[in-house]
Amino acid sequence: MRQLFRHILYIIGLTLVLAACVGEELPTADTPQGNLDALWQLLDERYCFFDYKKAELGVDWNEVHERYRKKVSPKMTSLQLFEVCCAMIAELKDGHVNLGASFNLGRNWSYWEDEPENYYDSIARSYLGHEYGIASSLKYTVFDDNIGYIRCESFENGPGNGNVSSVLSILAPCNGLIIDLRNNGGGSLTNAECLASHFTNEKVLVGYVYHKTGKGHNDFSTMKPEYLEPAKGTRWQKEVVVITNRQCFSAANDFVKMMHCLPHVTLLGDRTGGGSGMPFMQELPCGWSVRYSAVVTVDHDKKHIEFGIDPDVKVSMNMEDVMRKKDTLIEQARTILRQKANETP
Amino acid sequence: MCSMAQEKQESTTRLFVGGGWANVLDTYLSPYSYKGTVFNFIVERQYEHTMHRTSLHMSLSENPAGNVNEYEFGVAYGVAHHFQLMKKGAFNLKAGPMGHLYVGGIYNERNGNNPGQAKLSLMLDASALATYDFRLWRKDFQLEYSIDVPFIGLAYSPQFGQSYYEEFVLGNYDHNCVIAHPFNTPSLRQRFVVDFKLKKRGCLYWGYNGELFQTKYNGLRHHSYLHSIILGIKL
Repeated sequence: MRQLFRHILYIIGLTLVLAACVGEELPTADTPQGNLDALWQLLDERYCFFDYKKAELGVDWNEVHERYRKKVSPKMTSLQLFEVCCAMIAELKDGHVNLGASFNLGRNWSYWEDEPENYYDSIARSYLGHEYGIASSLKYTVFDDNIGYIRCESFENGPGNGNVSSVLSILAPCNGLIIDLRNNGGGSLTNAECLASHFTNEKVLVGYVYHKTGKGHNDFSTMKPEYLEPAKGTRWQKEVVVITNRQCFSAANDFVKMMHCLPHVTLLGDRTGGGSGMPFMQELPCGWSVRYSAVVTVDHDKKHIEFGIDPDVKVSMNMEDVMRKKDTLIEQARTILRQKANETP
Repeated sequence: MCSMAQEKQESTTRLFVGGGWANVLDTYLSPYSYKGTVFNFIVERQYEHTMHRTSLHMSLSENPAGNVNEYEFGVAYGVAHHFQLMKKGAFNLKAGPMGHLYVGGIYNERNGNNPGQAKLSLMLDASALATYDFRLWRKDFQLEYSIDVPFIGLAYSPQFGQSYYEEFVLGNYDHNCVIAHPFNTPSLRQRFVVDFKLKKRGCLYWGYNGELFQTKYNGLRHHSYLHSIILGIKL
């Protein structure tokens, strides 16, 4: 009997010992040093573009750690620590890497802040006029040269399949279509894919996706192909021009990636802002949120699009046009579509 | 005595409710443990050698900084077959295998593309049940201790940095079905209760329920330490 009890106690004791072995791995101290180390380690283990950023920007993440550790002192304030941490993550030049505190959002938006905007809201709105249609996140109208125009400012809330089908049915008599994607900062990939799926009649390879499988900088899964399937609703069969600028980011960048693979689509404007890493969130001991790129998407040639996609036709805003309240990019897109419509037998 | 079925085919059904402390870690969502409160609901039907148990728990916990909440829930169904190992006087020991299905999830209210973590497992556990009858103050009491230790099975887990978009929209699976064993699932459920008669047929149970559930799958760590004070009745 005693022996049996002893065995039972051994089993319980062993299990309790095992039960103490799945714990936290990151620094837990809520101190300036602890938070900076936790931020560095979290990104070191989970960020997905280190090799690419090293090749393109020369970022040595270990050197970054050493440099920024020296800027942290035990008595610094939260605001000072936030500034140092933001400067550290800004080294990655990734719009998907953010530090979130109750008083500020740490970010690096140099991908568009240091670049020409190529968009004037009041001018673009004048092209829509007052009688434009609204279908979820899409605003649309028909120009007097019978060119359809869709303004898509975001993929946060829609559009859905029904919205796109309805809009394309209404614009079907048009000779060509402009999708103005400028300043679209992204949203849901599903919404971006939904819109793009109305511009193909067949399944098309549009890129590849892969993710991290471990803490090493090169621990990645195999690349899995990503296909664009034709939508079940109305599908556009004529020429399309997609207007882009540097603020087309994340899901908007992904939309451009997909549209770039389609035969009747012309990309016009400026290079997109990039942001091809799907972001995840984690946190620091002090409660600040950390957003970082975790899943990599590349184009159909397996090339990175983290820093954007070049247009087929590079066009910038002309200041003379701006003075005349004309949008150079929209005007150029209309010209291309009119020419292509005339070339069509 | 009223806690255990004494005759063949006779069964005892018990209902437990409880509440206590939760400590939840899931590194897919956060590198830090969230601490808070758990509520339990357990229904157990005990035959002479067979035991069916359905349990539900919900926990609400917050991060160390106290600015984010995490919600966890889980539903488990287990069926055990207990062999009589020892019966000596007032002491009774049974043990055997237990099939165990668990479905649950954790939701972090702040995260964007990784807001939650789904939990699904089908396990074969080692299960044991010990009872000891005694009299005190001219009344019959019974001490009961039960323990289940997951032994082997299958469990679902996302890959280290895999998104649910890849899994469920694109259909890209990557080692999402994991073979669970004591080295990557060092877990146990244990319960200690005292029962005492209320009236002729009524019984009241009072005790402790502990669920120490841990996994290390695909480089992701998870633990749910749930400690509850439970109160039960015979149905």
